[in-house]
Amino acid sequence: MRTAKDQLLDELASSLRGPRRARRRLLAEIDEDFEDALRAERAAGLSARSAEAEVLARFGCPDDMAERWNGDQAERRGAIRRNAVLVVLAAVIAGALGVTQYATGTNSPVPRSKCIQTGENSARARAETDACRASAGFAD
Amino acid sequence: MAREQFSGHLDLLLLTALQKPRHGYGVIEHVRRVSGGRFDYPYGTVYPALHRLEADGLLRSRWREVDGRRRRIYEITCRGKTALAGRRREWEQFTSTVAAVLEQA
Repeated sequence: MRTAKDQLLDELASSLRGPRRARRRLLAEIDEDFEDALRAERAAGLSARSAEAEVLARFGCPDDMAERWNGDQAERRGAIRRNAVLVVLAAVIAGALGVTQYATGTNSPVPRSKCIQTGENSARARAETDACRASAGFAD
Repeated sequence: MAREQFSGHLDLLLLTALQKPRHGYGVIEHVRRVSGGRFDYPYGTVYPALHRLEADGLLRSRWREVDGRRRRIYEITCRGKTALAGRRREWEQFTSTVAAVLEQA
C-alpha cells in the first residue's frame, strides 16, 4: 500500500529537473528524514495517521520545493554554458592571433635579447651591440 | 519576501547551524528549537538550499551510518566559515543601522 511519503516522493520525482544522480540523492535524503520526523511525532504522542499528516504539513508544498530546486539547477546550467562560451571565444581569439602572426612574420627579426650585452657598459660592448642590430636589420 | 532576501537569511542560519555536522532534518529542528519556534521553515525549502550551498563550496556532505540508517550529513567547509563570518558582519551592520534609524524617528 502506498503511503503518504511514497506519494510525496513520487510527486517530487516527476517534478524535479537536473542531473539524475543529484535528484536520486535528494529523494533518498528526504526519504530518511521523513522517517525521522515521523518517529519524532510518534514519540511526542501522535497517532500514526496524525504524525504522517503533521510531517506532510511541515514539509510544505512539493511544488514550491521543486520550483526552488529547478531554479537553482537552471542557474547552474546557465553559468556552465557562459563559462564554456568564454573558453571557446578565448581559443578562437588565440587561434586568430596565431594565424595573423604566422601570416605576417615570415622574416622574423633576430630577437633583441641576442644583441644585448648584459652587464657590460663599455664602448666596445656598445659597438658590438650596434653592429649586431645593424646586421639584423634594426634601425635606431 | 523576495527570493534573494529569503535565500540570504536562510543561508546565514544554515551555515551557522552546520558548524556542527547534521543531516537535513536535524538542521531544520535545530533552527526551530534555538529560535523558540519563530523560524519554522518548511522542510522542503531547506534541501535545495543545502545542495546549493554545497555546490558553491560552502558545505560538504557524505553518507554516514547513524543508528543503523544511512543519513546524508552536512558540515561547513573552510570557505563556508569565511563566508559565514562575512554574512554575519553584514547582518550585524544592517540591524544596527536599522536600529539607529528607528531611534531617530
